[in-house]
Amino acid sequence: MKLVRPILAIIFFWISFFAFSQEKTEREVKVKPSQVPISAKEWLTDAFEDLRKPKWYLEYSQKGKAFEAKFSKNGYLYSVEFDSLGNLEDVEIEIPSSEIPPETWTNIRNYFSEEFKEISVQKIQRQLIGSESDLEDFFDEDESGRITVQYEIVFQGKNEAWQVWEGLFDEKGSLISIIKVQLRPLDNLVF
Amino acid sequence: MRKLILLAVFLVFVSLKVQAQSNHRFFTGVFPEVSLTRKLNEVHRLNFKIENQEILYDNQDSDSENPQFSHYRTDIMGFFDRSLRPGMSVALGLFHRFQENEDGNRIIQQLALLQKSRVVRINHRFRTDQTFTRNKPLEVRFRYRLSVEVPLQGAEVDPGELYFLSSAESIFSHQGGDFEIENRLVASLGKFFSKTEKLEWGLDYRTDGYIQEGFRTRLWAKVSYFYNF
Repeated sequence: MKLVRPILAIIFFWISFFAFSQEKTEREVKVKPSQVPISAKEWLTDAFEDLRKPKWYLEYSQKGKAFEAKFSKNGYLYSVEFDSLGNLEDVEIEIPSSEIPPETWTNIRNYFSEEFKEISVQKIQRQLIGSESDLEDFFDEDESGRITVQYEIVFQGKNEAWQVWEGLFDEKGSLISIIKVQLRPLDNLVF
Repeated sequence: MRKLILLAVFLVFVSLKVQAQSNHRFFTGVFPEVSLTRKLNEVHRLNFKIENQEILYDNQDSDSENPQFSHYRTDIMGFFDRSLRPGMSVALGLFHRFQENEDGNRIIQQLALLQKSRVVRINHRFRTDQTFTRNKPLEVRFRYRLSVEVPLQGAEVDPGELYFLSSAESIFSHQGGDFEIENRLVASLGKFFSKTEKLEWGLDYRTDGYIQEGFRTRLWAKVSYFYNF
């Protein structure tokens, strides 16, 4: 085949060309507990006393670096985020829709039916925001006084076409913000 | 993860050993492929793919010496893909094969379904195709491929990170009254450069000729480049 060698040459040219032209964007890597600020580890053991080994991640984004601990407890998946110095930012807990207060869930569903023809919820996280001591009291003493609760919901919504969305709702179920989620290209799995 | 890679390597070695001891046909070589995907809008995509297979070793080729570098086939194909919802799409494809005395054309129908867990992406691909080769009866096939993609650095595959991709595919064909089965196993290491490009290095192991005479195995060192724009 006369075609083969030119084709191979083109293929290897493109491979070598693009191998050196990668972009820099948001990423997250797994880190050892020894790389995590002590204050973050201490807060976690104070708030969740019987916690087994959490998984630690370091996230790089436009906002800078952040540490994130992920673990499961009593059947719930927790994700606790700290800034690069180990100061607590928020706690997210994955929950089923039945654990959202009925009034809040009704408001969220009203939003969905006003904005979309069809939706399918994929993931709900309850976000808890507050000072380190207030959040610690919330987890170890069940005091919920000064905590801000929000719901982050990932869902597929259809208008013209289906899309994946991530909506943030306040405690009452009013929309705070919504962004489109881009799926990582599937070309290597589909074709 | 390491266990999976070890298992794949082990399977390949076992099969090579088996082939060395029998008289069925075995050949191996290199298999570069390039896939270009153009997003037309939120729903439609075009994919163009070129695959090239070069034989380096053939246990039953008396004409050429081993190791060799001989062209086996070059396939070009194009797909028009329509997303039904995120992670679910149907596609129609046209395919042409350049192969000595066996040039052929194929039309392809495809359904792809993605299952996403917190970490792993699992994709099911169902295909039917019809192949028209000169001087041969029409060949119709049904294929199912299961692919599993696992991030190797962190819980998500982020730009600059590596992933492991493995797939298994069974192909059932019917041609001129005869049935046949082909199996394919692929294990690859991938690098996700950005949303536009990735590169995969892998081993692609194929067996066919189970029912009709001529059991055959093929092992390819595969390099795949994917570009999205």
